[in-house]
Amino acid sequence: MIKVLLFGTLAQKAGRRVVELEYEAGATVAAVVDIVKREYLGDEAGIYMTAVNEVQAKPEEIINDNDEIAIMPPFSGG
Amino acid sequence: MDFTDEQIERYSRHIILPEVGGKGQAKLLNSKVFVLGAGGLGSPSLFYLAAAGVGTIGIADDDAVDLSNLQRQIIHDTNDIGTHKVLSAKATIEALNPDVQVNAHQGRLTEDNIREIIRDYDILLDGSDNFPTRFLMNDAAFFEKKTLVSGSMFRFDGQVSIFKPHEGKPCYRCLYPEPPPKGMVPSCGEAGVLGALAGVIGVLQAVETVKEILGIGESLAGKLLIYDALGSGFRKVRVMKDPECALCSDQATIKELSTYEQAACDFNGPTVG
Repeated sequence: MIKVLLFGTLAQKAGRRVVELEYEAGATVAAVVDIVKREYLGDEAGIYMTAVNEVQAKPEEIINDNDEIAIMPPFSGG
Repeated sequence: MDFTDEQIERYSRHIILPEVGGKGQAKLLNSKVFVLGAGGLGSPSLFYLAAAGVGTIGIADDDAVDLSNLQRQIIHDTNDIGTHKVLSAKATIEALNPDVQVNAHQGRLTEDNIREIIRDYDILLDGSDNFPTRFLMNDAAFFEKKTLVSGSMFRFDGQVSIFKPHEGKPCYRCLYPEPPPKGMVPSCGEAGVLGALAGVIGVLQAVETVKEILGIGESLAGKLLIYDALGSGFRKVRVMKDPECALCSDQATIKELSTYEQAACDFNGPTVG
């Protein structure tokens, strides 16, 4: 299992802050984001940054089982 | 520097901390901090920076106090409605601590004036409320080699980080290369925010600013601190300098400030003059 955390506009849009997905060997960060986008975000995520286990990660990074992936949009409010 | 008896008493709870001491307090009194936005984040930041005795504080905002601001913008009060925010904030700070010199910048911050305005300050604090201003501030801070203490929020979530590309740490564009497309950004009127969240994030910015001035503790540069008010949780994500950053990498394509698209709700965008 992998755990995906959503923040800000993305959490609002998905109507949830946490998504759990089955782990697939060799999956990348981008593949996980694509699934979340398709299933929960109507294919629209705008600008965001991703992290794996609290370290910023590039889309091509390979994930491992039990990883925690965060998808973080920027906030503009002040 | 020589403290007056009043200063020794006013700052006694700082001075007895070994990490601050008389030396640290003198650093604070000699420091110059620029705060962009006297709104939700700027209000608590300004309060604590002023109370701490930051000797010079610049404030930029082009808006006037509105009744709907008072749920979170605590540096203003009901009697200030209609008053320019920088003047209202200046009056509150001067009543709190006469040691602080406040520079009130009214009027819009633009690519033409921002570098000259921020040049006189040691540290910059971003409490602006729209993406174009955040990118303008980030880029100007990079060109002027100034440390930028950034805070932002949305509903129940907040982010805090320090951008120091001039010391090999990431800038805002290393995290977010460009502003989100317009359709993804809720207009200011639609975007609600928990009032006390502004307190948490703005005060964290003040704490990090004071740490930077004193040179104590672990810097938030290279880290993004995320606060989730509903989940009562903090997370600290390690962030990297982007080797292809358009602003701060060797492959930079942004060589000067350009026109920054104005936000849909730029009526309350911070400004200067």
